[in-house]
Amino acid sequence: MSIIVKEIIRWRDFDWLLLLATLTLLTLGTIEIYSSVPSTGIFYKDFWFKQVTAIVLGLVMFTGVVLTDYRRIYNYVPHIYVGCILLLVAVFFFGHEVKGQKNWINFGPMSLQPSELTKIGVILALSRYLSSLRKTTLAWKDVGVACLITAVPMGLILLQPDTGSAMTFVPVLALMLFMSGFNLKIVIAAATIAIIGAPVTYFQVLKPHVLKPYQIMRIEAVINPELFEQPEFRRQYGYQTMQSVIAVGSGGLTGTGITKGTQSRLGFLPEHHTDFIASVLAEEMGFVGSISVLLLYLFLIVRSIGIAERSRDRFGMLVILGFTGLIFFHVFINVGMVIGLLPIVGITLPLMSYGGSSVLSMMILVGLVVNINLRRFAN
Amino acid sequence: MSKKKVFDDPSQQLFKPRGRMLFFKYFVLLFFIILGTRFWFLQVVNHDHYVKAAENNRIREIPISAPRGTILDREGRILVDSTPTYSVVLYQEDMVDRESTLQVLIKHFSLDRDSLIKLIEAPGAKGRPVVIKTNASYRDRAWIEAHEFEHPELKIELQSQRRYPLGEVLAHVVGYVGEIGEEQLRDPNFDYCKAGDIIGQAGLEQSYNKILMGKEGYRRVLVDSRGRVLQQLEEIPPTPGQDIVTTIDLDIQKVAEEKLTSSGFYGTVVINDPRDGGILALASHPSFDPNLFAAGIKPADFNRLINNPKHPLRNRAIQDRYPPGSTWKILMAVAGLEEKSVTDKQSLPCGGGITTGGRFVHCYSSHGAPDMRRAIEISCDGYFYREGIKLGIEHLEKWEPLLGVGVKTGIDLPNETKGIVPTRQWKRREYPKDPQWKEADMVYASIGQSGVSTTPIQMMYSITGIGMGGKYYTPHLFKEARATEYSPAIIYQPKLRDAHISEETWKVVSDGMWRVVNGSGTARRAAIPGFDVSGKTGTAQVVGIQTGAKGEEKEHAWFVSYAPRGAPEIGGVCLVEHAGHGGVESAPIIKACYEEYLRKKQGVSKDEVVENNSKDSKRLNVKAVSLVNTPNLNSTDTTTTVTAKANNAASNAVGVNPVRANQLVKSPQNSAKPSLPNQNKPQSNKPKPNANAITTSVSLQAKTKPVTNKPKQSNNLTNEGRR
Repeated sequence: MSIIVKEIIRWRDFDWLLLLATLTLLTLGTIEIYSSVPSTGIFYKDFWFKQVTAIVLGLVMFTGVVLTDYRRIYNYVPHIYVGCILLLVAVFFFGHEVKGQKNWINFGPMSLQPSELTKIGVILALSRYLSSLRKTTLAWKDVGVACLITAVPMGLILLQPDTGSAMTFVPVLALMLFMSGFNLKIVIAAATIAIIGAPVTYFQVLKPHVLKPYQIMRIEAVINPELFEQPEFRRQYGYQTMQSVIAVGSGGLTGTGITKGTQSRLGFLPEHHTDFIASVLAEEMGFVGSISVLLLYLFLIVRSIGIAERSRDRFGMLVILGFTGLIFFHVFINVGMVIGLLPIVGITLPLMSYGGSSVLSMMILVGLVVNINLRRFAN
Repeated sequence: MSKKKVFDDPSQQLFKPRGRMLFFKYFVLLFFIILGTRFWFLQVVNHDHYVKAAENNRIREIPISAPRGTILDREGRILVDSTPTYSVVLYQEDMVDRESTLQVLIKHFSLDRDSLIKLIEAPGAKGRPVVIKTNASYRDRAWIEAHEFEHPELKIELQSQRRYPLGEVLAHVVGYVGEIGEEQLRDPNFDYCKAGDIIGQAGLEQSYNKILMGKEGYRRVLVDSRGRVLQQLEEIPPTPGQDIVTTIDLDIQKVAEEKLTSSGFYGTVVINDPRDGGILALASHPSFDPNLFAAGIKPADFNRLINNPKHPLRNRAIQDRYPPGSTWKILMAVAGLEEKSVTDKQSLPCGGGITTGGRFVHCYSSHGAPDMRRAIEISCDGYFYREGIKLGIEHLEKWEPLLGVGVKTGIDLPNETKGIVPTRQWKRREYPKDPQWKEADMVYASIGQSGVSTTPIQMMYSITGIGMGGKYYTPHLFKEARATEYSPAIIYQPKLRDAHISEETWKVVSDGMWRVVNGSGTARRAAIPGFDVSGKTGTAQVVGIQTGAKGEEKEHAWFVSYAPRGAPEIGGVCLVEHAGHGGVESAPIIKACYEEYLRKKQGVSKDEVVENNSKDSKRLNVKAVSLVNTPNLNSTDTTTTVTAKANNAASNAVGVNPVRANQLVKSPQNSAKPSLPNQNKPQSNKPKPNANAITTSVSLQAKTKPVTNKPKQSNNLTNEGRR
């Protein structure tokens, strides 16, 4: 069996560019972590060093994942899924609390964020379930099962409570259902209703009856950024968004230069090494930097979709599409928040934000994509 | 294995949603374009705006208050200065939790909650540092510095606070300061101020606020997101306000205050120099302590001052009106002579009064038939009743503004009132049922009663101007603003207005006024041998015509005068409320001031430098007499000595007076009228406004100085003039 695999692998199918894009994003992220977090003086306690450690560990995992035939991983999907659930449960007992959230489990010097790993588990579980259905159109029952697979870990994460992380499962599930043959008519109908219904609902129901004035302001600021100038609005909409927008805007075309971003270094930017890392990058590397990062993500997504198209089976295709959905959702929500288009939710920028677990799970996912590409002709 | 089964199943290849994947690609692309566009707008299009916002974030300007200019008397003695004090200042933008900040302030700085909330919710208080506590103690400062990290919103700032070392003395002149009001902020005159500024709110502090105030400096500092100062980038030092030298002579002022206070009555004294309008002393009693305002007046103190029935905040010399009583007769006399409705030799019967409008209006006595001089001397009401009727309201109306009543004198203090003078229009306005100007009205108006109501300073301006032969110099307190590193000196230019009083008139009226003091007149208590004090008393009835009234009903006592008669160098008014007779109550106060003036003048003449000048001036005088039309024949050395001296404020008992030198020069041939006869007028009489202020004023002083140091000579001259 392993002989077959070895015969089929052609190393020129190894997607070096995908790995390169990933590593570039990881490097940019590490640079900005280095830049925005003042050094503690002891290098192994600095955030950038911890991030580098995670990347090195991630590369090891990546290699491990690439070398393991994903079809073997298929067999262990239920184990992985259950393991994730168990970790999530364990968080309630052994987790340690940061800012009112129990997200981490400590393993000696390292700490693990099970919710990040769960993302892999859920993508794999959904892929396995949906690929095994052998249908071109999903039945409602199938959809229900898929939702259940997602809902269990999602519910556990909501209990931590980590709303941001929990939210990411929804678009992943939606995309995977869509790609597994969810009835197109329903999708189109739903989209049509949403596009027509959203403004109507907003102006007829939400705005006059439901929303509070500051919520209305938040929504309308997306269309009318001048609202940012009003002190009243600033107070309501949030100091953080304003500071982030200022950071991005003051970056200009080429940025202030590494470690020269005043917004992050003087503490005006909140959470500058995690949720607002894109803001730091935009300030210090300017428009050139931010567009480069966007292009790298776009490359990552589009290239992955291409691999999904060429993958030899539905399981592989769905794993990759789940990954792209996850990345896309994360990037859009996070960057949208950083540039003041979206309200603030605790969603990190994958591959760039500080966080070992996130780096590990992302690298495992990239490893899966590369893996699937590598074995597309395998038999 | 199951694996093989699954993956070898052709159904795995059944469904490849290529269309959907393509759609997803474009979907992703669309959203990334949205993000990229937004980056373009933020980072490229509106870059400058956000750079500024980022700067505002981290760079803060901490104001450094500018020391307000000192106010000095003419000899350089301090009337008002400033002391540095520490203030607790709140930067609301750095405040994280209002409640905790409030708690801290209440607990550690013993402030009360309501007034704090009022302070921080004042309009515009959000964006600027708000002074929470002035005169912070050492303890306060220590606390704030120790809690810099927890409470970066609280800072200690060094501010200068006004100090009024004289207390109630001169309070109405110097005024007081206070925080700029909301209405003032909207006033374009205050466009150089901003919210929270301390500005002059009364007196000279208000009139010359712009000169005194200076300009705030600031420290540009780098702060972190909590407002903690990380690093100082630059420091723009404040521009201090200019020091103002006033025309006040503190010695005379003190005498005036002391005499007025010890009289036991409320009232006002103003002493001026008629030759340039400079006010030497201005006292108003009751007074107040401007120090109360310096650190922001407490509401209780302010209410007490405002609600005091005696109105201590009012400057009685310029803000209150009184019937001028008999002092008004001088104006009647000038108008009458000028309009030729009487002549000086013409006698009018006193008759003990006059019957008019169906009733008999008394003179206080019976004086036979005095002429003009005599009528002034004895203050005969009967004479002036008849003179007024002959003059007629239409002529009086013409002369009132010329003689400086019914119009503001233009003194450089705020809130001067213009008073009321008898006119037909006034009668129409005040008595709509009886709008016609009647003979009875004229009778009362002639002795400064009905329909006449002037400020003390107006009467002084009017009568000293008459003493000057119609040369009216606008009263002023500002002498110069001293040059600083940043601003040039500003020297006051006397403002002259000529009422064109003929010399004959001047002679008659000033003779009369001389006799009031030195003859058998009503103000003999003001006489100073050899100084020829001239003046006029007034005893202004307050409520109807009552004799022997007491207390509140008693008459206001006026004395308006100048001296010496031929060439006035000092003039003054004293008004004491409800005191009785002007000659008894007011004249001695004026006399005391004049004596102080003379003492100082003689004291100065003992000075060696001035002694030399005196010698020179004799020489100069001789020369000048021989060359009447070229009085500017000073020797170089005299000029330089005097120039040096003149710059030293201590010698400046005599102001700028170009007329003066010429008077003395020509007086042997001429009467002592201070204004020149026509042939000499063009050269000397009108000080021209000149661009080159400093040099001119010095040279003028050089001319005048030697002469003024010789009072004896001037007496001779004036006596001669009287004959």
